[in-house]
Amino acid sequence: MKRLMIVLLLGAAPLLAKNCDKISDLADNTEALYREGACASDGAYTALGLSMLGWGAGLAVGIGVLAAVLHQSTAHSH
Amino acid sequence: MTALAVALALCFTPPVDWQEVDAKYLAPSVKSGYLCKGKKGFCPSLNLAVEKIVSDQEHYLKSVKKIHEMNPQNRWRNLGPFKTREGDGVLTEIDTKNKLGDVRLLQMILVKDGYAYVLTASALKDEFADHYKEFQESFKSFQIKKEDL
Repeated sequence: MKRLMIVLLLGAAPLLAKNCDKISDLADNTEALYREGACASDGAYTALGLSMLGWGAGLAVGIGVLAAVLHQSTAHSH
Repeated sequence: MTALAVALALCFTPPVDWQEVDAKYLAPSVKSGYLCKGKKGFCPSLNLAVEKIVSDQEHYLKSVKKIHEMNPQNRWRNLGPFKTREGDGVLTEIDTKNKLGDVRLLQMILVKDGYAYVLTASALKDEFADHYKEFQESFKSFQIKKEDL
């Protein structure tokens, strides 16, 4: 009985290995499908982020100019 | 020729006088980004993202629609086929809200040889018409150049 089991397992091993590969491929493809569309979402977030970055840079320049003007006017008043 | 021996140069022509953005500001799948120079407030921008996919264009679009519509503030629309130098893509539009106002995003999606190429342009909704032509020209100019290494 034990010998029969070993023979059966050895005989089935290549089939199991092949199916394991298939299952692994299926898992990879399922995961890839689940993640699909990520670059469209990355593109949208980056577009919004860059646009706000430009706004932030403008704001920083504005604050810098205001600070310089305030600094100068304070210096003149002394 | 093996895939390793070929480098893909992803090309599109940004609008004249737009500034290239440092790669540190880009998401991992975004390959390049541009900003409109000298614009106050919300700066129009343009970027190109790429990902390896297992499905076709139709299924990819469904995934993209689903992702964008997960945000209830987004309104996603398929504007139909769009011709580029590389081939036929699809033009889509997303309207969303931002602290600076209503924003419109235009995405040109092209699926080819197991990859999805997504060009995204953004501008305030009120100003979008001023940039629409230059966004379209940039999208049309998209092509993939194979270079031997």
